[in-house]
Amino acid sequence: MKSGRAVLPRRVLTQLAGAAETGALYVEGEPGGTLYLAGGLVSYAESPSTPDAGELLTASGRVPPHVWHTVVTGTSDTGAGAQLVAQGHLTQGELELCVLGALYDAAFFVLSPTPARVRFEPGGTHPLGGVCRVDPAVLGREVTRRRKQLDEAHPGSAVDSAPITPVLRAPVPRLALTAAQWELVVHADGKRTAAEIARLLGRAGYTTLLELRRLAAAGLVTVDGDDGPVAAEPAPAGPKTGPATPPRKAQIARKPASPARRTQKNRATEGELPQRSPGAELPPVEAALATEEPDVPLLKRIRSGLKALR
Amino acid sequence: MSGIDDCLVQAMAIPGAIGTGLVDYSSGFALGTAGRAPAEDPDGAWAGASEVVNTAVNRAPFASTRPGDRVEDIIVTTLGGYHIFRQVHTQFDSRLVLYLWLDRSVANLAIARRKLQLLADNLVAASAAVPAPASGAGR
Repeated sequence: MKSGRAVLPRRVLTQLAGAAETGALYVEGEPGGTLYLAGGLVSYAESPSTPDAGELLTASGRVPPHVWHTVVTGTSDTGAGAQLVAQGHLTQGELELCVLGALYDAAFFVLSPTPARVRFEPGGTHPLGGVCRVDPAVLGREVTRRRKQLDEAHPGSAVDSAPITPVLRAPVPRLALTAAQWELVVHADGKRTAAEIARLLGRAGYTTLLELRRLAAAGLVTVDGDDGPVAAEPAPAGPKTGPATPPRKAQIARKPASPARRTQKNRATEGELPQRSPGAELPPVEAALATEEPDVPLLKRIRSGLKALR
Repeated sequence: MSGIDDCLVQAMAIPGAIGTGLVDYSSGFALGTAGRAPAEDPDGAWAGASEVVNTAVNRAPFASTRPGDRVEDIIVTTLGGYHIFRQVHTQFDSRLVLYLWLDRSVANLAIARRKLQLLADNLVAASAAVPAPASGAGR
């Protein structure tokens, strides 16, 4: 089965599930990917936007790359997954958790709500073998729920696909990041996209997107392009939200959406007010660092003035 | 060697068990469940469980007192029940908890917690996957 025109991947999946088909459903487009079906149930999924089971296992060091290569290219009847368990490289639990995690993760990208060209190859299987079976209806519901969750974290989707740049100057005086968020900020270099960072780190693509959207909502990462100001602008908004309450650890995670929403409103109401373009935002920071030497005598005078008030 | 379903079946065999689930707390999704969910609302239960775990793991600095410390489990007691959330640590990237809901009039919290720990460890061969857990060695 092949579709010349673009269709909704999810609708095709429902049809294939109804017919209890077995095979591989290739979805083209950005980012696209592949769903593997067995008797109408989804047995595996992969997408360029997220590490597959092999990348998760090898990037983390759980399975040595040469072992993974050997079992995947092997000609066993049982599939690479079962072989890894039989040879003692993984427990059955780890295999199932890894494959299920990768499956739901990739399905989020493959079953995107935009029409795409699809191709179904009956009988096509993945070298992993049948590790698990997921009801396509359950999978579809979960994908929808995750998409909603992503938009609740931060409505701007620019960070999903564009190269990520960390802001050079934090919009609030005190920051609290989770370990996962720190890792993303450190690896965002203005060239890598969310998908590239996820695969580089061997971290789930969906979770990476979710954390990047939270970072964007907090004004800590930005992208070049039209959505840039949304992420870059919370600097003026920061003092209103931040120091109004004492800076707390949970602040960033708890109020992810508010600066962005405010900024969007500002953009709508302020109309023609001059705005720095996102590209112009960055160099002045370096310039400011170079020229704005702290005025030491002034600071000393302020300090002695404050002391006198005690 | 046991898979997810096997793990959940064994969790339901713990005295007093009412319901159990293996929950991805980054997305609030249950990869597997057995028994009943609190308030007969599975989706709400897993989303709520995820928030509890996220709060303890990411937002509250419970595990920041010494290097290498981390949240092991979270226990919520109610007048009628115990709820235990046990973090499942895999070496590959994941954010999972094994959740167990117990009837307080039947269950023994200490024993249930210990058994849940063993189930979570067996699921992912934690002794091999976790670097240097001094407390886990030699038991």
